[in-house]
Amino acid sequence: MNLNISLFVPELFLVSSAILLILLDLFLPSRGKNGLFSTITFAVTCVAVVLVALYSPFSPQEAFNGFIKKDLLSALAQLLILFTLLLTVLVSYDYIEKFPTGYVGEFYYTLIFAALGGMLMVEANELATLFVSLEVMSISIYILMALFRGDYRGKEAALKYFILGSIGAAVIAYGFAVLYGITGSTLYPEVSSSLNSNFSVAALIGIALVLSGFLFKVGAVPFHGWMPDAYHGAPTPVTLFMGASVKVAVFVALLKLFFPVFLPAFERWDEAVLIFGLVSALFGAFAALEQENFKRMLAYSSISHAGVILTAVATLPALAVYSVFFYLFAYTFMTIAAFGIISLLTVKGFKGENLTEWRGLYGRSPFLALLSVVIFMALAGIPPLLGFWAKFYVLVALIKAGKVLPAVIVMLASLISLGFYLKPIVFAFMKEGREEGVPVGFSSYVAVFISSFILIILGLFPEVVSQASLVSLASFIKGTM
Amino acid sequence: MVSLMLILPLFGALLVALCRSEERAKWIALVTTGLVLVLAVLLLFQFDPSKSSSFQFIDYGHWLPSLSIKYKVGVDGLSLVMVLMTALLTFIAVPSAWNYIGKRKKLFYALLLLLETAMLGVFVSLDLLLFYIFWEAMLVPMSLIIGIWGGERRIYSALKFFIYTFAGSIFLLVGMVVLVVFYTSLTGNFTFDLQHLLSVKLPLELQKWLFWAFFIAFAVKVPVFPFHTWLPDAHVEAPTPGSVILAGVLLKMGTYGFLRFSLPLFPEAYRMYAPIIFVLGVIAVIYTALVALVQKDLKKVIAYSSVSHMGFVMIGLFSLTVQGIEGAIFQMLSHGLVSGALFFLVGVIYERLHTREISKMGGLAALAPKLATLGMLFTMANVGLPGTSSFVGEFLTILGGYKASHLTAYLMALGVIFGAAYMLYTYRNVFFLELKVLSFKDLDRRELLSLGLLAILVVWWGFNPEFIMKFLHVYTHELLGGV
Repeated sequence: MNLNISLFVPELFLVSSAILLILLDLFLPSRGKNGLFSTITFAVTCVAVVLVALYSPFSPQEAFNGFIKKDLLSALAQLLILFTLLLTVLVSYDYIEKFPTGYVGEFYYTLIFAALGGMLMVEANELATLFVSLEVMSISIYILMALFRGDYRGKEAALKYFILGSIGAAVIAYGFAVLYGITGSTLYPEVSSSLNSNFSVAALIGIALVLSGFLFKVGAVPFHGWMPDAYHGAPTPVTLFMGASVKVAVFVALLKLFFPVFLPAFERWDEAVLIFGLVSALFGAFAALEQENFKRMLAYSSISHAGVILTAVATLPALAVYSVFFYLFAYTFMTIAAFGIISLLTVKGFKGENLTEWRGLYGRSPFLALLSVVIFMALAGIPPLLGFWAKFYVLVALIKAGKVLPAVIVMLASLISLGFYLKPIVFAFMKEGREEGVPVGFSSYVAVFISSFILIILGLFPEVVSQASLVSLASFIKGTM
Repeated sequence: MVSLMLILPLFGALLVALCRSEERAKWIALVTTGLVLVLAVLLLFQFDPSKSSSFQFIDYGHWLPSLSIKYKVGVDGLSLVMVLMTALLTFIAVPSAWNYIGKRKKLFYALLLLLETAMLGVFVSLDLLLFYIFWEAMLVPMSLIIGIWGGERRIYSALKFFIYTFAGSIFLLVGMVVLVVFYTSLTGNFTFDLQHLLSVKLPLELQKWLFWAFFIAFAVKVPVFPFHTWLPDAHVEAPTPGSVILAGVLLKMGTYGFLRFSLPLFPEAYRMYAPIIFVLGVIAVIYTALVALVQKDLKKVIAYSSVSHMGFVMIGLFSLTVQGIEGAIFQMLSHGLVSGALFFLVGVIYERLHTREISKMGGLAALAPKLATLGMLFTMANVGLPGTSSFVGEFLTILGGYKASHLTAYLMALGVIFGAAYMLYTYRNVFFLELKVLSFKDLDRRELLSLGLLAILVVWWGFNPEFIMKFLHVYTHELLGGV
């Protein structure tokens, strides 16, 4: 038995904290719970960040008999997820103050569970572990979406996401089962060596099923239908959290599964992934043009971004890991900032969700209006913001892999996306609007400010992210050898 | 020193953003742009013209070592004169905004200063990606300037400008990466450094593709016919300082791109496609001149005249003769001064009359003699009267065009005639004929100073083109020697 429990300290800490929160929730009166729970969750997450940093191994290490494999790619992805959690907590505090719910305690510890699921996903080294952690994350998010009392839109979204999500999960499970049937194992290295020595049509079917499930989870066309509804219906902090962390978890899990394990079939799935990616990139951008609701617009734009990341997955393995990680890094902060600012502007009587109501934001809050320029220009990929570099790395990866036409299509998608990323800026600066000031929640403000600041600073000094990508790539390659 | 020029406006923008009073913003902007201008002039005097083909004042630093992307800036003869013009016109743009910009002054001056950094950055970058970043970074401030302070259709124009330029740049970025990846496959060295990239001769097939990829981005900016439709919209809607910068500097970025990248990187494709550019250039010269002739809006006349004049520049650039290229560069500078001044004048008139319709003006010469005098000077300069800087530029480009193709030169000359027609016709309708307004305030001291400065340069460079030309001779010869 090789449990190697010490490697698992951050996860254990999070689980025990969440359980403690559940107990605490039972005994505390509901008044003042929001402040207390958000503070505790924030503190717990901070400790978890430190623990992940302390316990991340420089060379890949296995735990639980090889069910879990930690490398720097997974450690960095975990940090991204935890960082998302931190900022989500900041945004959630204000949101719950504005829209009280009876389930404050539940909200915070479910968030922790969701993050935990994501963290497990990125270090899974075995099919069942991957599946279970995926479900831990998904189910937590279904719950989070429906937690706000009287919010029927949220409940509808949760139900929709739940039903479709379950189908997605079922497809993945079926694919795993097929692979297990062929290879006789669920451990990545064994599946990999078995596929290497003996590749059959059945294996391809298994891979295709798994791929479809993953495409569903990231919302790639044609499995994207749930996404606008789910993003739109969910409470904004939940949208923020799922927008950023699910992408990170699923894409990193996909890299770790597809490159070492499914590599024998690379020539068979890379074209498919590329085509799904390009179609998603274009479709998402076109569909977003039509949206009046901000969250729906961002949902479609997220489909487009997922498409761009997928095209990077379809390049050469080393380039793919490198550029995908870079993109995920940038995308996390862009998403946090974008949904954070919506959440900040969402108050009763002034629904920041609707585009037209961004009118004259500059007159009311010049600073927020300027931040929105940073955020949306970063999403559009205008230099020197971090979003530009993300796109640039994908471009370099595609062209190095000899895929020039796909590179042009990716850029075309970003041209189309200008059509909607410019809208909030136009409304905020160029149209007159109402006079009253913007009610500002301090903690959300901090979250939006931090993430926008990161978009600017790391845009000016992208080497930091680039080095992180390189380190994670090196560690990843070491782990696959 | 070059880096200092890039940082100063950024610092100024920050100061503007932090200062409390709206009024103080314009002074900060004036001082900052003034300092940049002083630096540019210092650069001019310290520059060694005998080595204008090589880069001087190079500042160098690693920026993104993992992709070998450098912060590398420096100036050669071409960059030098472009930097000088940019610094000058941005400095002029501040007083032109003085009365024109009534609301959100802080934001305006901050954007103007950011724009200055981006524009200067375009002209001094020696790293392909750095160039691209400055090229794109200029979009946001410029679109905001058009979109916030522009006329009635400002939002439409701002978006059109943004999207057109961005669309062009897509191909530029892809082309750059393809170029670099190809270079890497030959040398094993992944770099965006222009000087390194120039050391490799590209196969013709690749040159052809890359030429067009770069062409689209630059052509939109120039703008080359038929990519010009954003320009009249943007110009007409932009506030005066926006128009001054647009015509004076931004349009030159495209032609600068042809010289800096297309010609040295893809010389064979450049030569091969020159006839196509001649055709487009001639269409621009004649067609837009004719369009300018029938405009009712004063600003549109100048806007179309810009497109027409940029046609001359394009033909000069693609004539691949010393005269043509030197003339084109000179025409770029001269057009910067003249069109900048003309847009300034239109701004002055609009500020007082609140209309740009030519039919509502008339007889202004009687009420505003100073305005009329300077207007006359710049009109004549725009027509290309000998003794003004435009004459030198137009003459040399026609000469270059003649050497490359006689027919082109004849048609260009036809464009000059049309140019004289629409400018004189417009001048008569605005300043002579019967008086249609009751009162009109003549230029004040501030306006007189800014326009006077431009007027002096126009005449000075007209009589003494060598002052600028001496920075270009070695550069041009080297450039063509390499082709």
